[in-house]
Amino acid sequence: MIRMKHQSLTQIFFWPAVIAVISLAGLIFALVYDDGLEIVANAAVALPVAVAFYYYYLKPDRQSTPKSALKNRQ
Amino acid sequence: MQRKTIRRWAWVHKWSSLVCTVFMLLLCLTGLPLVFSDEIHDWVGDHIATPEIQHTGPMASMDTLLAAAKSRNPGYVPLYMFRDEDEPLQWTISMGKTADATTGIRYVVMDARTAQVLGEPPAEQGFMYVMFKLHTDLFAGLPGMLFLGVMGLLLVIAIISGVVLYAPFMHKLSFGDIRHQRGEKLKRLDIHNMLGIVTLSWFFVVGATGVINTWADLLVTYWQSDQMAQMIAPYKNLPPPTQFASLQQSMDVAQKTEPDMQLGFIAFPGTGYTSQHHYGIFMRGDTPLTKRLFKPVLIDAQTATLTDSRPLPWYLVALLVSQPLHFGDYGGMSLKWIWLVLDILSIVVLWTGLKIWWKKRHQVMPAIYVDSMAHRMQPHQG
Repeated sequence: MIRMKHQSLTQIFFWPAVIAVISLAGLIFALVYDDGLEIVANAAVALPVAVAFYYYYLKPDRQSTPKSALKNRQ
Repeated sequence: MQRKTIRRWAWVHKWSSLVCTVFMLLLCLTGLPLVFSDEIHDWVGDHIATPEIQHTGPMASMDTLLAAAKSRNPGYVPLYMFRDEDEPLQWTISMGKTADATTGIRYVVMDARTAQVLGEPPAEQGFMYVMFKLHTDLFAGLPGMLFLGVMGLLLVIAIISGVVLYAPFMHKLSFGDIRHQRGEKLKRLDIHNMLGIVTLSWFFVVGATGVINTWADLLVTYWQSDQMAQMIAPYKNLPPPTQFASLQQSMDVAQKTEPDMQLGFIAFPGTGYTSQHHYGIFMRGDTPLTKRLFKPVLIDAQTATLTDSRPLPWYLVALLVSQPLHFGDYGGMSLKWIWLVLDILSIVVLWTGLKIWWKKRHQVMPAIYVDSMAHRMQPHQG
């Protein structure tokens, strides 16, 4: 197991797990339901696109990010 | 996770990805037009429209339709009869020189009301055919298909190992952080990680269902030797029929056997989905899910009587359910567009992954994988 100084595994995987479960549910619901629920299901499948768009284009770069070892190693 | 463990996962991720990436890029690129296959056919004018006519009588007899198709292709035998979901007033009959032909196939599209031949679309040519073959078997038949299946399995392993490696990368970063100002390398890595983790479910589902699809021929062959062999056991040593009973009558018997289902497609005697002695009449449901699940009704092709009807076994149900999840053709145009964008995001994940490796390829074990984070993690003590 890992003990991390800043983020635990739960913290690291919380949002990825939420997105994975919602988009997976959307993929399956769209297969089972037509009509109104199809829009909801398609929106769930599209969630990763919206999240990616937000984090790449809209969310400002965190200049305050602690200098990571990754940076130090470069 | 200890340093040694991270190294092992990094090794798995690196090699599973490297081996399959070129093929996955090919599959993602050829998959883009395939998502919009119907629309592209419309756009280039391949689509055969149903004429708008006043028609109040019954639909044309299946026998009339079959005769019309045969008259267009003397010397050919019918293989399958099916229809496009978007064109319920059409029937298409595929024909080959022999019942087991896989090349030289001809198609005859007919008006289901009048049996008028609407068109004979060319097969095995054109841009979409090339895309389809590159996507499914690299023009190499079953070996090509199975090879792509192995590449798909490597992709699944790469995705799983990528998820495991996501943790050590992210312990100092918040979800979705992209370090735009810290140089190309870190930015590329962050994009790879962020896109990889948010598209996880989709990429995994499309990859895994793609692998299942590569086993389609094997699964059908197994079904033939398993359930089909049991159903047609009494016909085992009989010579192939030379006279065939009415297709319409056979269809009526099948409909009577499964009154709550509707006709999906017909496999003519000698083709892969039936026996030499039977019309394989495949009935389906009408809900979004059950319309993809067929129930074969075997009708004796000489007497037009019922031989047997059994639900598909679980492995063919799994195959049929996995197909829409791979094609993305089950949620209307909006889902197709979402499929397109997710496909493009997957191409970015593959490309950034390839570039990360390329820039680091001379290192025995890229620092980016191990050294940077391992010392920050302490093995859990007790």
